[in-house]
Amino acid sequence: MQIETALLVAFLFGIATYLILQKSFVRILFGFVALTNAANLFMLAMSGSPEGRSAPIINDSPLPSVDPLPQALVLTAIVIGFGLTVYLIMLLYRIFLDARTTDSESLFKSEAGDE
Amino acid sequence: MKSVNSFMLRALIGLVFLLVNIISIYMLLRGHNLPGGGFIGGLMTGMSFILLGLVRGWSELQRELPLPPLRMAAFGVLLAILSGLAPLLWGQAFLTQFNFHWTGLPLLGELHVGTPLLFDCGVFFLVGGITVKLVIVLARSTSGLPAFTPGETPYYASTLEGGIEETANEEGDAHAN
Amino acid sequence: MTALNWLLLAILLPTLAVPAVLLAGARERISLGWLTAAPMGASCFLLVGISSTLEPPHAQVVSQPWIPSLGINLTFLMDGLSMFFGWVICGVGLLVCWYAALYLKGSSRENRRFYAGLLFFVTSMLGTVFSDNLLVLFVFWELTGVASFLLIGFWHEDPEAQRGARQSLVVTASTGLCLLVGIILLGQGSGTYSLSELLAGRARPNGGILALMAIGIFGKSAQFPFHFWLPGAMAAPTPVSAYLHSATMVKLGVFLTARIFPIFGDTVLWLELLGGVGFLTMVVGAFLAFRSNDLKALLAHATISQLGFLIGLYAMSASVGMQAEFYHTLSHVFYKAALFMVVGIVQHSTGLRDLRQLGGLGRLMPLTALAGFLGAAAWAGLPLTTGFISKESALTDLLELVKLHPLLGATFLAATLLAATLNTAVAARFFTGIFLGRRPANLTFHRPARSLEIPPALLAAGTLVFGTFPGLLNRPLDWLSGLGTHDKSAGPLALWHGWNGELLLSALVLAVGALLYLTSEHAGWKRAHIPDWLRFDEHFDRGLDGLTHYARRLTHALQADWPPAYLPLLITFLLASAGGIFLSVLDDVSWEGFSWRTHWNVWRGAMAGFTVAAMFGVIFLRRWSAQLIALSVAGFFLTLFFAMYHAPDLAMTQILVESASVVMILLLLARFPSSSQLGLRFEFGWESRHFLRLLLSVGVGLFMGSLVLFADLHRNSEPAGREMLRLSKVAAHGDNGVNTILVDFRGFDTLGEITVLFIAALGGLGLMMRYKRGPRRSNEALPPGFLLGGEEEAP
Repeated sequence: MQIETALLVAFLFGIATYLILQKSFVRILFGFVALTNAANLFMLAMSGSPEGRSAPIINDSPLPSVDPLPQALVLTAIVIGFGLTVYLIMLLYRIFLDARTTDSESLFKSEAGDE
Repeated sequence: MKSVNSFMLRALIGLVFLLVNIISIYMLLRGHNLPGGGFIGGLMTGMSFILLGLVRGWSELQRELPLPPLRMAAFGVLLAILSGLAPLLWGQAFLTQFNFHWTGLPLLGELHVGTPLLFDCGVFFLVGGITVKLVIVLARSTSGLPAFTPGETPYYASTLEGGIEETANEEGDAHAN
Repeated sequence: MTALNWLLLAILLPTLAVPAVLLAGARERISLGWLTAAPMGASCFLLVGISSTLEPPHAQVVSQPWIPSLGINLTFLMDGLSMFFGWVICGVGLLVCWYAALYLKGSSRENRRFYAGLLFFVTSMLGTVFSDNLLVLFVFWELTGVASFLLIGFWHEDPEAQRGARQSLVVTASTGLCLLVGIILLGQGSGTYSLSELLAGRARPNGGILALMAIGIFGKSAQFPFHFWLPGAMAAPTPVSAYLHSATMVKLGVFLTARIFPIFGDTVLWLELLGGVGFLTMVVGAFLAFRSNDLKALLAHATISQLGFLIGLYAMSASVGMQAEFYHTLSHVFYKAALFMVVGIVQHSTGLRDLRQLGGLGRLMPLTALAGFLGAAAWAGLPLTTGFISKESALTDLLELVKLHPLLGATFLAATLLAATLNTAVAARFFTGIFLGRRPANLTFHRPARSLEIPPALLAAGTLVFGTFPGLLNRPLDWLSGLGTHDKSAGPLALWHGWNGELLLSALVLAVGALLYLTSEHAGWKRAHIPDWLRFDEHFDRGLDGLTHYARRLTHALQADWPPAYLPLLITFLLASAGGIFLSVLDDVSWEGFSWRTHWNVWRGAMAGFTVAAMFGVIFLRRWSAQLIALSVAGFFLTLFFAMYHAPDLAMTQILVESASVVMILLLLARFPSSSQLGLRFEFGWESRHFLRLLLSVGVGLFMGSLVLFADLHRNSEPAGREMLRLSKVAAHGDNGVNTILVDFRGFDTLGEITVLFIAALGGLGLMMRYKRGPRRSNEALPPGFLLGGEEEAP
């Protein structure tokens, strides 16, 4: 059983959603980072409970190893998540320079006002 | 963030940089058998450059870079693709691996090298390259500047290698009124 | 070369010649029309050659595997029907090229486009008629629609052409979708898509499939209520109108009706649906033609009427047998193409197409007048023309139908007589209005080239020759029928059948038609305009506009361009759909084995607790700096969590990424103004949006968490990763299972992933260095940006 992991995944996703739904750029950014972490953990949890198992490296350990496939997927996901986080950072900066606001609500409201 | 004005730190950071990179290359090479690999190695190298930039300043870092990082990254992708394409020449499937095994070498004893290492090197260059590139561009656009104040006007970049507000800082002063 | 290769060559030759036409067009001296005619002639020659190898009564099927896994083979069916249409396509194509060579002179870019489209059309037509596989047939069928779209829109700057092209494409393509559904139902139900096998008796037809296929047929052949696209298609150059929209493409519906006639002939709906729509179209088309003034619109409506007649004939033939099935089509091809060409010549030499402004041209161009006369005579069904014989045999069928189905037969007969009467009047008006009478004073006229007048004259001569000596056609038509998949054989054609009811009816039609013409002529054709409620094209346009309007409103309602409003909607939808599935199978899944009192791992529990605590810090702390620290603390705890999952690679990657991200975020936030702190405070009021936010967060969290538990409880197959780890040493020569998967087993995925990374990085860089703009030029035209301009303030 992975009750702890399930609880952690639940909290991470919940908090990430809560942050992303806010209007401040800073909160959205933090929420995005949290969401990346939550998704990675979620994927990793699919490899099953790690108890009584060893790392997915061939060695002399008598224990069976954990499933390496989710780990490989998560590893690339972490790096891609990093790439996307940096992209988001640059996007937010760019929006800020153009629109001079760090608040998504005022950003889109003023655009609607222009039309 | 401004560069740090401490002689000790500036001197030491070179040493740290060297050490981190040695470890990162070690990580890259051992990745096939022990924890490590191209992603980790590349990120480590990237971090070492971030450290260097934080201490010595980003402009200086960019001046002193041995290779343009974006080109390194492109080279990495190309290397990975080429390592996959090479087997096609011998009628093998895409990304088929070849292994070379030497024993009795001086110093190393036994050495095992396969084409996956080449692929991993591609990953290494890519991850390292884009980390360095992204952080330099972002840092040169933002650091060394105060937080925005209401009257300030943003300007936009001029050259590909420069940051987004690079021009603003140089020309902005000249045209300030 | 086998028969397949020859046939394939015949089909593809026109398209293969397209590059030659495009390239040769640059040279002024080569006439594009003749260059285009060459491959058509070659195809025609090949088809004649192939047909000489065929021996009745066996249709030949040639096949070549194409997409065997889908059961799609390049199979062609060569029987009387396809051969007949193949000859018509190539033969009329040749004449049209001849005509077009003089009609659209020069080798400008537009003309090259025109001829390329024409050649492409010929290939798709030949493909349609020869295809044996229904799916292949459908592909070619749609290609003809594309070719037609391109050719109607030939003068693409003309709004009328735009409208016509769009309408024809929308109508034929959307009805074509019904045809596709019908084909798939038929194919899946019968277990084969091959026409030859279906015709051999493997088909399982039913009324529903027939109705779907009939919609496709009605769309393509401009039957009521889809008839309106055909007059709109007259915005095309006249050779296109003559070729596509009277002689060949619109006949595809007739062709398909004939094709599926042996399959569906015994189906309940056949006579009622096809006959009803066909004869209704016949009347509607004739009525609309009667009230048109524009020559091309008039001919288009008459074509609609005639197509309805042809489809109605096939509908009847299930009951009363088919007589002279090819003769009807041939007759229409001859006279309608001739008349279109005549109209083209008239328009060419006077610049007018309105009947009310024309007159007295007969003496100026006698050959064209003669062609016009013969065409109109065949149209009206005067004796000695093909139209007469066609009408006679149709009346024979109808009279026989009356005996079998008195009510239906009488209705159809009445419709035919009414439409024929109207057509007679219109044909009379067509000829007299153009060629007889007084020439209007302000009519400018310049003589058309003599050779331009020859193709219509040839076609018109055909109607006379084959109408006077129909015996000439007996042998080829018998041969075609014999080769056919239709076992209804044709009786010999003859001009004179003796004094019988048909002749009487014909005479009656001609007399009433003439009377109608005279009355209307006397009244000056005042009522010759199409009433508004019959303007289906405008209704259709309004419908399309309404659809667009409605779609836009719906989109606006569902998709606010505003993330704070849009994101909750998106998350709600995701949650509702995923959670709905989850809940709907809840009864079937067991939560057996789940218990809160199972073994809790203390260390992981503690780590999870710390992580959650740090994440709550992100929510409740007041300043971004503190929040960032809390976020990175959570990230580092997560690293430990990874380590507890025996994932050293992950832990290392996570810690490095976490550090790099923190530096990056710090770089960004340091530059944000102090006002960015405003939205950071945790706030909660008794407002709906706060509750919504909370509700969604809890929902997402609960859903994902229970998904983890669920997956953990239902682990029923051996994961693939173990096997990869076992192979890791053997096949990939590495000990680290994660790394061997990354660089070897799933190397292709990794390659994709690093490419994604590279692209994301390039995108980020693009964002950071977009515009070149210095402070000095800030007053000039502003580059397009998010909110540039309005927000710009001088310092």
